[in-house]
Amino acid sequence: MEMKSLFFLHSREDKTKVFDGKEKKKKGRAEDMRKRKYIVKGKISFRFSRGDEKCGSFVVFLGVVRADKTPVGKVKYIEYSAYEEMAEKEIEKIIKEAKEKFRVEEIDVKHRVGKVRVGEPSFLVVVSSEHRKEGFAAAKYITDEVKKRVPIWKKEVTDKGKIWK
Amino acid sequence: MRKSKSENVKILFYGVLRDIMGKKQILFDVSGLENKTVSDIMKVLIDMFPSLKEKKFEIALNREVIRKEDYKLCKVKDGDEIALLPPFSGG
Repeated sequence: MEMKSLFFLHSREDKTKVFDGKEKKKKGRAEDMRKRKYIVKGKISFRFSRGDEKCGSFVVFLGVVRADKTPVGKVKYIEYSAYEEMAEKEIEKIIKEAKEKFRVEEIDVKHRVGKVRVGEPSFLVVVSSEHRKEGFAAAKYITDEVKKRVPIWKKEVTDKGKIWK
Repeated sequence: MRKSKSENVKILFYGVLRDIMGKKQILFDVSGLENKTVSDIMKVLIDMFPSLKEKKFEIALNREVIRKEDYKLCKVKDGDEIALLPPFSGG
């Protein structure tokens, strides 16, 4: 049923909004961020083309901030930062590799920067494919490679302090 | 005496290094260096900021991570961008 509602939103608004966070807009920064395809601030959404009758599978992975225990207390939010120009390039490469390795149709990746609270998603991978097996495999490959190769850092913030991970 | 032209390389700091350095980036004039390699720049940089020595990081030259054994081979020129990247922790 979840899939249906995703498609429903998609077809009505032509954009599937998975999450809306609070967006603080600073002009220069906002303009910078508009050029980014994969590194986003404040909002995770994705856009797939409609009505691909070939695809029977639609895999969505959402990475969400956990309330981990740290030596300085429980995590309240994570402050993500990225070397954005290089991160965009590296994610582009990973998507290309996944399309070569697996029989999949469309792929989208988003990673948030800035403040992400516990329970909010920070990372999204979406893969559409004819069959689920290839979709799951591609989604796993992409999540693993993004974590390994993309220059993004997190600073966990608690009531008592901050820790770089 | 010949007046040398400055050759500026941008050095970017990320993650924990940004807090340690207290800044996002510096401009580094490499015109005075005999060998303008990444390795030579790092030597000078670590002399200037000894706290960098204990930190683990990779280096990207113009947005491409380079291997440690290539630090001595990679030459830089005016306008290049070097980034110091601590271990990634995205996701």
